[in-house]
Amino acid sequence: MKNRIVTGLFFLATGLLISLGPTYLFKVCETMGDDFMKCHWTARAEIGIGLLLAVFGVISIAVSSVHIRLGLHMGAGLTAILAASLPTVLIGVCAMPGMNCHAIAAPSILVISLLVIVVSILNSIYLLRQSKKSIQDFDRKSNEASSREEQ
Amino acid sequence: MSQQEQSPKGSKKKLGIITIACCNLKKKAVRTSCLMGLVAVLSFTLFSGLILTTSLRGGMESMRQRLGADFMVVPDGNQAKFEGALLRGEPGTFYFGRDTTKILSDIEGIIKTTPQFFITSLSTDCCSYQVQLIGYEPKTDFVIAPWISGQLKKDLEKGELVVGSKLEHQVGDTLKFFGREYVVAGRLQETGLGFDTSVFMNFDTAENVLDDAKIKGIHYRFNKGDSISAVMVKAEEGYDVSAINNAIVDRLREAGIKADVVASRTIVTTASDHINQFIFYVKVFSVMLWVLAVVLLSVVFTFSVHERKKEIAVLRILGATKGKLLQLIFGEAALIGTGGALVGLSLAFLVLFPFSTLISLTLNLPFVLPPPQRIAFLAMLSFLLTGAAGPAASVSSAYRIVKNEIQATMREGE
Amino acid sequence: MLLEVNQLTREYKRGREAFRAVDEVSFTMADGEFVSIRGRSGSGKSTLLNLITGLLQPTGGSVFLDGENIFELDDRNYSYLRNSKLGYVSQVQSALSNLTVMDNVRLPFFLSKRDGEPSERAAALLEQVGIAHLAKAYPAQLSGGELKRVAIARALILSPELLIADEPTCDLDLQTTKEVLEFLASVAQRGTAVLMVTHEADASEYCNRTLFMESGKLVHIASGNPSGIFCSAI
Repeated sequence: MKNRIVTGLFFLATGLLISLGPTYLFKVCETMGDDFMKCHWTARAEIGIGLLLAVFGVISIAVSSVHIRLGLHMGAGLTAILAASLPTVLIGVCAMPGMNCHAIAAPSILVISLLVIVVSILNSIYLLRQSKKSIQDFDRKSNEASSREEQ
Repeated sequence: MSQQEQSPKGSKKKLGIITIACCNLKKKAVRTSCLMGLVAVLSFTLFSGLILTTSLRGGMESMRQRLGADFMVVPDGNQAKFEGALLRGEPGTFYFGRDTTKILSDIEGIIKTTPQFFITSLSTDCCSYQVQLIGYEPKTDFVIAPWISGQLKKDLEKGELVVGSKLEHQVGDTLKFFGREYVVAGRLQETGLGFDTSVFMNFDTAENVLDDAKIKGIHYRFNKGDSISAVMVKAEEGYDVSAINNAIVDRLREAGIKADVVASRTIVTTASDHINQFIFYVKVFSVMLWVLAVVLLSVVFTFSVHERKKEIAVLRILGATKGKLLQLIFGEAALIGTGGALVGLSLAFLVLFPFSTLISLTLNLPFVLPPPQRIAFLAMLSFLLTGAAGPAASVSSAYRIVKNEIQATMREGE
Repeated sequence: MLLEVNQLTREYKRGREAFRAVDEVSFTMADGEFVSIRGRSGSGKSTLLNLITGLLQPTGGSVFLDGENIFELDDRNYSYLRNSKLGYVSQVQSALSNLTVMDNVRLPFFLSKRDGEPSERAAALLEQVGIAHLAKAYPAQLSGGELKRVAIARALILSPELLIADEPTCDLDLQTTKEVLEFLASVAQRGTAVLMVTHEADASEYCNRTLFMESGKLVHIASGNPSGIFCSAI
């Protein structure tokens, strides 16, 4: 229960941060006139990806099934990989190192995504163990029940 | 039901001293995380400090090596602007007559001179930011060419560029200035100087850029074909700074040219003074923090050993040797130390490397990150130093445990 | 003889005055004997036990356990002896609070190099002392009587030759006291000698002998076979 809430809130918070950060917090470069730079599109794309991550977080708080949460957390990890690859590989940011998007926005997205990836891997391992345990418990109970029936 | 089934799951694990230490740390989760946090702060600071000082030293060394010119002569009143362009790549434009180069090359003790020409690109061009464009003369140049990575097959031709190491453009890419595209023909190695964010071209290309700028309505205050922004000067081996400095000033005054003379040695000395000061603070801070951490940990360990005298007495009665008790005490301390050190290092990695650009911009000093193997070495060093803080802090409490008679400890623990 | 205590003395200084908490005590014990020591508070019973277990260093005299003088052993050998031949149930709560009941009982097995796995024996012992259901619990969740049982199970995990119990029944209700004493008697019957300090007058019923102490000296033997006892003070 504790794990469910803590990880759910973590994904919700990091999702919102990835989603809104590049636009409001660790801003990408200002747009000049009609000329949109790479980082502008990266920021736009992160809005969607971050929200997806946040929704994963909300659902995983609401759902008690270990298996569904396992799937959600794996999905969250993969989403974070996508979030990290936007400013680095898929779209990129402005080339000049001194620019906001290069010095602040991109590394921030990268670090947050990395944290999400690490947490989702660790928690997936934890949940995997839990699910195995619950399967074992189930097997044991059904074995006991069947042996009782035999008697 | 057999005994086997009755024994709780997981109890089959070996109950070595380290397992007991882990159980103790786990059950006292709050205390453990506080202590680990303290060690984490320590390792974070130590590693960051080491990386910062190494990067700054590297930056300074690189500056010393790569500031190919001994003197730089710029138009009167533009020394600060020039240093901004040279050290930090801050775009700046200033001009004086081209004949300055000739006058300087005649001075005794000066062996090489080469002119440079500075233009500031429009921010809406190419990369949406202002770039310092530097025109140079490949024929006489001794400042830029040595640091072009790989070799240019031929001298830079009209329409070709060399870009600084921090620009992402690769050889063969094009860059656009004032509406015209230019081809990247080479890249510069990292210098830790403003060169890293500058773009280089020959004088013909530079004039081309200026013509295009004029068409776009941007006028630089210069005379076409006659203006340059700076003269880079190389003096003889073992030159006397003040003698040559004076000679330059005198000769230019005679020629009626108002100019500032910047000596590389002075720039290097000034920067190195700043850096040494910074490094000094980092060192003092790190040492203070280490001492503070060891003292705090010592206090906590001493208290906890006091609190745990009974536990220790019990272990002793059950047949634990003094060595085993020491293993327990040092084991717990080492687990806290290594755990905390790992957390601190991971955080430092997460902050230092992704944000290295931001850090170097904020410090405003030449900054070159060390090579990976050096980083690994520094990480290892800080890991060992901070990991050792735990065991170091528990020496006194361990000593007390070993010295005491068991019965005494059992009683005190009651 | 399993245990030989010869002229054992422990002196303390109280201010300038020296006094003997244990004063030239001598006695012996054979395998499987159940001996209790009684006496008023401060008569030196606990000090005597602590000297025998080697937790305290004597001012004079010797203690031979299985033919070895425990005060002449080095730390390693003495620790091994304590671990493998002595079981100790202390007067105060002595379970390690960060380990489960099961792990507390298993613990002595791991303090010296050994092959095998003590879990089965630990479970059996917990069953015998009647707290098998508490194997996964932590000491903080247990009552005083339950903790005493944990301590007894732990003391017996390595089948010691001598079990030393310092007031194992203090703070326990009548019923629990009886159960504990019966259990210790059954332990003695199975061959482990038991030396117990107690205030319980009824305890003598379960013992082969009862030694009485006063001002550090053995003064009286209540019952049992006097041939095995050399008591210098009487």
